[in-house]
Amino acid sequence: MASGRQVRCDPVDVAIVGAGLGGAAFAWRLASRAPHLHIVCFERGDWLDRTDLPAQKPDWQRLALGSWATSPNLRLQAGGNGVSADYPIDDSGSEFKPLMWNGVGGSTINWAAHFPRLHPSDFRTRTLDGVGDDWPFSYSDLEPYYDLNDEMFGVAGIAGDPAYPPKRSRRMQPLPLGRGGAKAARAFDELGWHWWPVDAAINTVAEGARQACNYCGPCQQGCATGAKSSTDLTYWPRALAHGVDLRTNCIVQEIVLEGGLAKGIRYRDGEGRACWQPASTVVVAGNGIGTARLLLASGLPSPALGRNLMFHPAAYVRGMFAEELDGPVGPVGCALYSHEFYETDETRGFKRGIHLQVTRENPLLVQALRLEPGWGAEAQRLLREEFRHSMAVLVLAEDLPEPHNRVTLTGATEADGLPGVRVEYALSREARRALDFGLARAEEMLRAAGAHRIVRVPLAPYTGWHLLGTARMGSDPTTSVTNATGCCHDAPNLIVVDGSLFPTVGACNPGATIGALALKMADALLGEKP
Amino acid sequence: MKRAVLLAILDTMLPGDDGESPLPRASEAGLDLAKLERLAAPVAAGLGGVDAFLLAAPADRVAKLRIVELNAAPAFKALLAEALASYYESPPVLAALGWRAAPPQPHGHALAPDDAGILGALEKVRSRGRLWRT
Repeated sequence: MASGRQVRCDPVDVAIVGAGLGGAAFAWRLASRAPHLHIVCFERGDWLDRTDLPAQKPDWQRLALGSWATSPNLRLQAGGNGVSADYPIDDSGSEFKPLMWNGVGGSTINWAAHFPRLHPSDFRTRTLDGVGDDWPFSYSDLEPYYDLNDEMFGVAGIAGDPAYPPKRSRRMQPLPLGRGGAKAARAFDELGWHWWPVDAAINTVAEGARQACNYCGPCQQGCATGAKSSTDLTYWPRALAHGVDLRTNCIVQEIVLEGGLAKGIRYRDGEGRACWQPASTVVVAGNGIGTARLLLASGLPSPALGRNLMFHPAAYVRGMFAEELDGPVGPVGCALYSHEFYETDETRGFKRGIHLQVTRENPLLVQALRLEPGWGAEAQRLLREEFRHSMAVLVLAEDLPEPHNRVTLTGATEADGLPGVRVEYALSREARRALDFGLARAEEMLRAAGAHRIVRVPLAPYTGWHLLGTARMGSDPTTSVTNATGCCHDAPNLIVVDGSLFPTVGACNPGATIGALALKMADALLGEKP
Repeated sequence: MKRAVLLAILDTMLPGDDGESPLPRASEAGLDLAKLERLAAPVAAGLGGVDAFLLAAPADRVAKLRIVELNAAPAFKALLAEALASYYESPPVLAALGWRAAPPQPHGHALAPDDAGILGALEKVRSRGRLWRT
């Protein structure tokens, strides 16, 4: 509880921890519908300065592997970048390495902005396929919030994809497929497989101060033009206009729990002062690792807390072509996808499905670093063969909730004042079968497209973007952390509004669903409907 | 360490090629050698004699470096990472690969618009009807 030496803040109605996707969407929705509420959001990092990003510098490739890497551990090893307030993660026991951003905007700052929705079947895996757990609500319950979140982010794409229920027309024309994407599209067609241009949260036309994408490439080091949507550009300006108080460089140390309720938060402000913020409701949106870490550190007793971590296991295949392709031009994650194999077909030998995503290529240096052999004349010959002549197909599988995949605390106290955090994750046999199936299909497509050489990467460790499931929704307090409205079973005025909530994860990127969920949770708090 | 040894190590790692637009050898790519020299010292120490390395034929230099790569992996890896980063951000190397030296912004890159035929093919995908389950 607060001591006399702490800075004591005036009580607020709602204290939010984390200014990423979930926190921003929740803050805006709540503030816009209930302007009388006093809402404060605590963000451990800072605002991004778009005039000082790697894409504007000659050594941008090196920065993308160091202080602006997608992995917080790699950023810390390189000395950090002064914007993302990272903490070390012991990922030695995990086959996938967590990736994230710890500043205003959260991981929308360095995401690829590929913006698919889950399928309706993803909300009913237990009922339909006898695995995982059903969500406590359906796709149609979430659909109005998907639409609203789309509107807030701005989506470039084409409506009418038969892999999904009908969606509203997309606000902007899709990103160009490019030479590689067009080649892939023809191959999918030849095979008679589904394909569709991605929904991307990237401007293809200028909107206000935000430019249209100029296809510069390194989306994952922050977007210099603001073409790529991130919540510092979308939700936050509007939330601030509604009076939300966003306090940056404030690291929340503990949610104080008493008598089965959250009383407020203890945090360390940018000047290092210990502060006490009483709040009627506390909301946590720190991603599947940060949220679990804080709730565990705060002593929330839920037995499911931290368990059932899901990443979306990833692997990829790249094909080499005689013709010149675009190389590292265009938004790296956004060309097209195939959901031909997304829905369950048990003749494949596994339940649930895979997402195939044709991406753009990595920067030259990353391409050089991934070669085998890594140096000498043969390495340079291979690079000649690959650079601007390769196409990569990412395979994402659905990993099901497994309690042994989890986030735990270490015995150490880190520099941010919180306990250290460890991630334990092992790929299941089912997910391995799904990845292998997907790799074979990706290879089949690349061969149909004319690839003369194929390289398979059976597991891609540095793809741990999707940090999901560690504070899952459900009705049973022994197997879930929150109810259907994100309220913790063990502290009903403590609400989770990020990807930690996912009971299952489908097989595609979760950003659109996290935003929609956060909006839904805000309405639930107010007892309102969309 | 002799500058000649450093250059010989780097040229063995990155020998360039004689393609239509030749890739330069590392020693001709304008790299900043000061940092590389520091990182190369433990690698040179593992060569079993730098004079013999300098006198060795290219294939023998490769073999000697492979041994260091096995025996002193962290030091070798650190040197290789820095050598690759320096080399593949070097303007003559980028030019040889048909890539510009200027950073991605502010100019971005060009991406041709899709031809109507490709997006028209989506009608065929649509015509398959609903693929999702409830």
